[in-house]
Amino acid sequence: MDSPIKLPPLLTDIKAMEWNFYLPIFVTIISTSYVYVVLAGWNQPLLFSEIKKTLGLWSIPCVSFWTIGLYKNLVDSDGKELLLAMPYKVMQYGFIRTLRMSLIYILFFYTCLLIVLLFSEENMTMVDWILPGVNILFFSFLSFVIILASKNIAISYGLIGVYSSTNFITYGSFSGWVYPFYWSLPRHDLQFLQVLMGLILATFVCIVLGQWILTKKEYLVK
Amino acid sequence: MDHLKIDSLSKSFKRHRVLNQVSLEIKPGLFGLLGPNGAGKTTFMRIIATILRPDEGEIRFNGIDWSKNPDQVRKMLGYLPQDFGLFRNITARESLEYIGSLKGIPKNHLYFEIKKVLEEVNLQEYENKKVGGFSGGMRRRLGIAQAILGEPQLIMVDEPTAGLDPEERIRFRNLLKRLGNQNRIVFLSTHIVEDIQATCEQIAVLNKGKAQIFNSTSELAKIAHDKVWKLTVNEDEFNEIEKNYKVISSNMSEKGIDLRILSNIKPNNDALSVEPSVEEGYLTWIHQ
Repeated sequence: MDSPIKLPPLLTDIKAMEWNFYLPIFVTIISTSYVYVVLAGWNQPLLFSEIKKTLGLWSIPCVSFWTIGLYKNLVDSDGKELLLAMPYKVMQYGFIRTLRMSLIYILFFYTCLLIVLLFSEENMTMVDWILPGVNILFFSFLSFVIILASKNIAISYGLIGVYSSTNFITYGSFSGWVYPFYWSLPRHDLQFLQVLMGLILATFVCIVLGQWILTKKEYLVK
Repeated sequence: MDHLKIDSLSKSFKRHRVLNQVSLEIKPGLFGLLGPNGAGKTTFMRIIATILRPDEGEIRFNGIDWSKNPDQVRKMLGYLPQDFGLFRNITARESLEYIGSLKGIPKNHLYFEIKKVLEEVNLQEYENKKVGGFSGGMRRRLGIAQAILGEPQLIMVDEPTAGLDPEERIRFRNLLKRLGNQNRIVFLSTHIVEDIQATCEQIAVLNKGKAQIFNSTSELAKIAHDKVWKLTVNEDEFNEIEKNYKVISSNMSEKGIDLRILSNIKPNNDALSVEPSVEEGYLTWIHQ
């Protein structure tokens, strides 16, 4: 009778996220329209650098809304005790569930990017195909750790906001290779491969930490 | 079916000992855990629900040891915590699909399982209504529906009737009674004596971290034998009595104020010794 797959239905997961699901979509559509209407002035070809700046700075960090929304019932609701008593598999309820939403977000992001690029004369390079996706995964799993560690939605959004704005303002001066805005605002002292490595490693650390916290039910229930 | 055996369970938070060597043996049926607020009931329930780990002690049921196989325990457990405020934006059916998927119920069974439990709690008409629009009683019934989803052998319900109106409370008690008759253990934790009196065959009282089991409600009532007194007083006498004794009930009558008092000694010459109720037995136990 016991099924090996204990993943909540995708549609239910999305509905349970409430406004957290719609906000990033709204932000991405607004930034895409901004690029097309304001920066390109309707008729002129779009500059890829402008697209990167707008979408990279606004749309990519917004994946945090999805991830935080995904775990709000587990950490910051009246019924979290019920979920903690469920026989869920930590790998499926944590990593796979976050990855599932992140991949959907990546698909959505690239769709928007490709639509905007129809109005540009520039083409995407390998870096453009890889880095935004890795950035999204990084922000997603960073939010995963933050929401589980803080157990508070407002604090999580605050921390992600402070982290993103500090990184943006300082061009990632304090982040070393873990610079998630490299695609939008490249730094000349960093190579693409260095950033890629830094982000992949940081994402991996976030996954391990998040999974570890997810096993600590006594901490999560407090 | 095996008994649920709880042996010398202790739990402390920092320096405060919440549970102190609690031992209980619970047979199938409806079991009531009674205790005042802050007695440690919720901690006890959380330990059985595998959310908290005890500092000492052992829990076993059907050959499964809680400390060694928490995942196995979760599979045979249905739990309704005191707060059930999940998923306000989704429908009752979707909530149950969510819980059912976490319980590992295969998709092809889940549809019929949900139909069955919604009928059991009389919510079938509301299956496609959003949970956010449910009344307190409906939400509690949905809570029970999720707890019995997958036919668990052990169902734990924490303070289920708190905040419900009298009609909904009676309906909920009847539902618990029905569940207790289905060859499983239904573990009900509450501070409301009436809930236990109306539903449970076995009871335990928990206070200041210590627990004692009673085989029936009358056994608990007997604790107050020769300690409950009935008398009628006027207003001045009432004030004096209230200062010196524990007044359990007071009702206005034509002759004055009819009182029931808990006392080891006869309060005055007019007082008559009366048969204690379960509530009086409970009050005697927690104040001794």
